[in-house]
Amino acid sequence: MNYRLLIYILIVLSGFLACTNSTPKNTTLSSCEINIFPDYKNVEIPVNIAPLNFKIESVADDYFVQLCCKKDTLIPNIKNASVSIPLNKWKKLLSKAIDDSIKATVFFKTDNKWSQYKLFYWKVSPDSIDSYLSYRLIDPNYVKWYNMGIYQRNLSNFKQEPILENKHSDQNCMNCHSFNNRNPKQFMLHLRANPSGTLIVTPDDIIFANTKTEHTLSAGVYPAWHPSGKYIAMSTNRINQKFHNHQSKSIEVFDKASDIIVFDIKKREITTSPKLTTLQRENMPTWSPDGKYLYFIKAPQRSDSIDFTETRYDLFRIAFDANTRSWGNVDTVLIASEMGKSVTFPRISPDGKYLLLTLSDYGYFTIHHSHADLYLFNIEQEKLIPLSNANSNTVESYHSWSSNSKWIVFSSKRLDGVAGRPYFCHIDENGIASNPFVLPQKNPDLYTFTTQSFNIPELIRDKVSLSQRNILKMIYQTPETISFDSLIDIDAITGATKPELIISPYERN
Amino acid sequence: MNKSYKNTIPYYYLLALVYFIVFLFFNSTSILIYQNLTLRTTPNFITPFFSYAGGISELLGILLSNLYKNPISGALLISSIYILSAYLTKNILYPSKHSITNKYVFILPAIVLVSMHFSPKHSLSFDIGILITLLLLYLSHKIKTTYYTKAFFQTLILISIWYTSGFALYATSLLIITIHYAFSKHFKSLIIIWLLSILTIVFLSQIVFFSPLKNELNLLLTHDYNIPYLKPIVLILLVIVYALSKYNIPKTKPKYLKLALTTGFAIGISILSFNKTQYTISKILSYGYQNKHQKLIDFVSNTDINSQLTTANTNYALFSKGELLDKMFFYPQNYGNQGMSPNTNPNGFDAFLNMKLSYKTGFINETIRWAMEAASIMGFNAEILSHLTLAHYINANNKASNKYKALLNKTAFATKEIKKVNKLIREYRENTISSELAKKITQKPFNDFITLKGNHILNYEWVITNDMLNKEACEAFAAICLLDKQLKYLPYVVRKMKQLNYKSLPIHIQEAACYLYHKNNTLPNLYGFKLDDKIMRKSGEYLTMKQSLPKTEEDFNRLLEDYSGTYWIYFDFVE
Repeated sequence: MNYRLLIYILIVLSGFLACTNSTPKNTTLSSCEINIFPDYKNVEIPVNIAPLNFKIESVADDYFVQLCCKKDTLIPNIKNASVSIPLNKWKKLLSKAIDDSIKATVFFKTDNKWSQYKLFYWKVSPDSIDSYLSYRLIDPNYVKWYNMGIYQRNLSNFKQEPILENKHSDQNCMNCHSFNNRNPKQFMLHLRANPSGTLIVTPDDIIFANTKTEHTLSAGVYPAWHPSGKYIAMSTNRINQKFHNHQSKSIEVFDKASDIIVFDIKKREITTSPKLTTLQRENMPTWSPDGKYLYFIKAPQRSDSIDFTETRYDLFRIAFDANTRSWGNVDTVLIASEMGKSVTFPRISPDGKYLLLTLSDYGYFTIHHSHADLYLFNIEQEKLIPLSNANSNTVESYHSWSSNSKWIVFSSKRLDGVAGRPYFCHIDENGIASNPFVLPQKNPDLYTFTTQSFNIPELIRDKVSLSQRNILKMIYQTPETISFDSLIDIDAITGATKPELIISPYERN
Repeated sequence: MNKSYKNTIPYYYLLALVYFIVFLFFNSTSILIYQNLTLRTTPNFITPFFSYAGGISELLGILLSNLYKNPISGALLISSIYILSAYLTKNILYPSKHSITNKYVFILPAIVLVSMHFSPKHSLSFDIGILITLLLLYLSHKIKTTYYTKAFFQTLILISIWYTSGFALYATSLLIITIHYAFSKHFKSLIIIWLLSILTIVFLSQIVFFSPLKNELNLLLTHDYNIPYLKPIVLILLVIVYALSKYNIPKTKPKYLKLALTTGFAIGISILSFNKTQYTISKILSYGYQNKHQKLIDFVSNTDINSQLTTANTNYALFSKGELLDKMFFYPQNYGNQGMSPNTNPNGFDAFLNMKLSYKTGFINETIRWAMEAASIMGFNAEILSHLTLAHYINANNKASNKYKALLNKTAFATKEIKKVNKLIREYRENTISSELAKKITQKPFNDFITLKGNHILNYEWVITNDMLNKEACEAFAAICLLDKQLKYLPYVVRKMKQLNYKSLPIHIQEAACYLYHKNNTLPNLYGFKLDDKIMRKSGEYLTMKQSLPKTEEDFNRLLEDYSGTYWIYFDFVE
């Protein structure tokens, strides 16, 4: 019995000793640059981000990784070339590396000799990022769908939780989750197929409503919360899709018509302005942080003679008085069409300084456009800055800001050319973006083996605490019917796009 | 084991043999196609199955259902399920120590369980759930300890049953255990089991795993079977069998009557569970899914089934064998061009077929589009992944191609597809001119065009214009022209066939040309091709008969019969 115990202790001890890491000695410095997946080399990271686990793709017999900042060193675990950084040690190292860098030294062994790849670093920004990221996980499909869900991910660790999964809601479609100023207690999402409707959650109320009225083109799409929390601007769209046959393109999503409406949450009423419901195609509303302006994109009226590749959207804004629900004049913000470009997904930084947007060669639904790139528009200086560091030769599209206006998250297909993944960039005072990094995952192979897109990445300040159970209770109720503002002169048959409204009284007479 | 049980054993195994033979004939591969059976050996594929009640049964069901791919292993699997479930039922629910009315009763739940396999939509996870439950209950019966300790272990077992197999099987097991304690009159243990297990499960299902009861009820009350509510029937039978075992009822019935009743039950429930239409459709789909073209054609020749999807599968089988333009009108064609390119199936078979057809005819982007549509419903199965790997490779999108290849390599039971993809890529790398991928790269459209919904003629015209040697696209184009009755394209088709070095025109093309000749009194330009005298003569006779035909139903039927399988009947009489 004693012998058995001794053997057992020896086995445990030998295992422990085998796991003990020590820096390889007598190493030579290689001129090779290491290949890692995802590519986290030389990026800037927020102080509260989860460990940047990665896989070493440069081939060798063995590896040893050392993460250092000043006098502190962290030795991550390595298994099958996958580098896994312990969470607690990582947090400690990050806190000590604020405004400094973590140096990553990777040693590799070939022919029983240890060498060292070129160093890479992670610059740790003192600017933290919002603690959660929400996104929809969905296979990149076109018409059919099956499993999908809207999830929230704690950015400080790897915990992902569902906000709503369609396996509990009869496999329906869900999209357009949107938060008021990144507030997890005030959000909305659309549901399609049964159950269908728009779920709106406020601190005081949960509403499930049908935002389609007899005066609007469709139910609300592409939402944007007014900072007061009283209104949600949405577009109403007649959406079409067409399929390309050249290898460089896949699908084009375009609108035959679109307008902008505003949902008054308290009054359960939809209102609009004749200036937002013209025969032209108004779309993608977003509010200025003070709520005084509604920014939107607009393209000319659709005509059969104009190919969709010639449809370009420009950026406008219209003044809005939240107290009286009255509208001002439309101002031109950016005429992208003059540059041969089309603007979409405008998002204003919470400090009101920059407007982050996507420019593409045409259209507005740019998630399938390889030529879509991110730009910053300095609102005060009216200056357009390309986010060169953030852009790649594939799609960069949907994006949102962090609460402190220092970080952006955007969707990019650069990893595999098929599925969108959330990338983060730091934006400095001059509007310069740092090298982007993809959302860290516990298992770095996840991006290789998951087929799903991380759709509509939206940063949120905290966790959405409303349970799936409560959401499900709401969405299985009959959706509330929404009235249309009786003071707005809209033709009930043609919907919000009423020809008369774009004609001046003079012309009408 | 007492003597009466021993006597049942030959019957018990005989029935297993009968089931094996029946399901060998039924062809278990037809079950395969309705389920998302793809199993990938990656953590992000497997982990979610552990996050909800019943997930483990589902995962094991996916694993084992791959045995359906081979008819023999499929039939063996189903008869094994019968043997195991009957054996466990007998040893747990119907222990031999009691006197019984019918020693065959313990077989009944297994008989119903097996009859569920006559529905191609049956999911193996239910069988696995039952087997796990019976096994765990068997363990719980084996515990020899005090009543309270036993109650504690049985609570643990009940919770395990809920976690591995779902709420329905937990409720069934709870009822069985309740009967057990009610008979032994140990109500304190029973209260402990009820309270502990329900509280734990409420906590786990509401806080740890979010597993709403509604989802489970939907699965339990599914309409996938010819006999309604077959799943609850099996569960109720298990409880009844257990309850019966507790009664000492004297033997009154003669032995052979019991045997006859059990056999009658097995035959009756099997017949009632069998839906011929569903069976025929699923068999056609399964042959199509597995690219068993000749088997599909032979099977369809002996059936009278007529749906858009079966028509499209038949046409695709003929197309793959190069017989489409010679034989397509031998089979019902009631769906126009959708008989080539279906677009209505909620299970994703339409998208799956469109993917295969698009790839064969050189629509590479369309291959990717339909593959993604099919995958969103059927899952990324091996065939979809190999199409995506190759299509992206042809499109020079190496990142995407490598991604799908990596997924294919992690797909279990996909050796054939992995080998095929590797071979094609290797051949292309070694000999870039004559390889299949080189041919596909040539076929790839060099100018962009938009796929027009429903206008397949124009879509194919684009592809043919791109590569005039694309024989597959030419044949699909010709078939669609015939189905759409657009004979104005006939000279174009014939010219393409000349360019493609056809030795003679396919039969249906000749029939269409003859039709035009009789209609216009002049032959279309046949670019040197000659029409078969027999077809020309027959077409003249057909038109004479059609024009002189008295309007009686009998004569009309004679016309249809005499000229069935010709394009003329389709052109004149099929809307």
